[in-house]
Amino acid sequence: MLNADDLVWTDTPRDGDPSQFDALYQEFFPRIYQLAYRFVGHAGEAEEHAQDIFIRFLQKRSTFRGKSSIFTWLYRLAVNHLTNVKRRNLIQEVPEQVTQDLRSTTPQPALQLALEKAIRDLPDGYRNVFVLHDRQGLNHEEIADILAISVGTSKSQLCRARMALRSKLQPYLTEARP
Amino acid sequence: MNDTDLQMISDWVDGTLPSDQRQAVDQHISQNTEWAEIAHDMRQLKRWSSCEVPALPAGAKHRLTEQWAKRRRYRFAQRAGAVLAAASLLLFWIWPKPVENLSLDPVLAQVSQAQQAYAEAVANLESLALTKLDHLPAEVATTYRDNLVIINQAIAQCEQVSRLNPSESGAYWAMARAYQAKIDLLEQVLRS
Repeated sequence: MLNADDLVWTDTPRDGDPSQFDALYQEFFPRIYQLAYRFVGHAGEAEEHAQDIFIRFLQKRSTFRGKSSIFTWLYRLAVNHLTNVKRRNLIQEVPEQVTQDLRSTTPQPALQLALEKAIRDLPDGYRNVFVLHDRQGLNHEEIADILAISVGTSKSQLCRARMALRSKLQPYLTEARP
Repeated sequence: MNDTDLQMISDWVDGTLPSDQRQAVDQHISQNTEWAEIAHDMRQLKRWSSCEVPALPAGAKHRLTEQWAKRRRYRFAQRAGAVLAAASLLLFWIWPKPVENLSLDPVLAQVSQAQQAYAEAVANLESLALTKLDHLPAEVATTYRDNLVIINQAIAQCEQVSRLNPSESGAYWAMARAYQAKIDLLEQVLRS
């Protein structure tokens, strides 16, 4: 059984090998999809981003030199991609499809919509740390590695992100207080 | 309340404060409404934000495989185009230098032998690949055939240049690249 690093180190001549592709898919694609979903909040959109990220990963994997863990490297690739996507769609509101999904699948659609929008509207630095920490469950050391920032910066970005969200979601939070 | 206080509350929510600081924050929260509200709101935001990720949409792997195959074909066409462009540039650069008193020295004889060996090796590979192409989806087969035509043109141009100016080492280099591109393509067809 190959481990994740072995899979990545395998060189390009086996690019066309279906079993190699399958192994990389099994190991990495679900994680990329999960992360993309936590950034965009919609399965279809997350799948599209995950495809782009995974293909970029396949193309670039021979440049991985093992200085960090493969998952750190992969997350960095994913966060950069998702940040660029967000910049390109800067004026875009929460997509209609996301709105419909939230309305049909969550018990508090208005709150979830407001939350998704507020997260999307955060500055990149705040948003990346917030999603990686509070949605993806990574710790500050891992986030610092992925985003190439210090642990202290990661903590302060998270705190500011929470305060920014608090300010935007004040009516819902006030209602939720005991 | 200053940034340091907010940072302490945020760390308290995550449970990453050292015990002495945690006790201090506990005390503030129990005595100060503003601290209590911020701590509550940060906790609530964290709870709301942790979302269940739905399963991958059906057919995700199939769609990914198609995308990957499409990108690889595109990349290969780009490379083949680059080889052709390099060969054309070389031809333009060298043309029409007359060659006089051409004689095959030992190095050229070796090149000729290598070319012959390549031709024999690739003939078998090519015949297998062409058979395989008939069994591939029409769109895929067409892309491969188009790429093969481009590479064959590049090889022909390189061979022409090396015949016109046998002492031009760049022509052999470009020819070797074109040969390799053809072998790569044929192997790719056989693996498809």
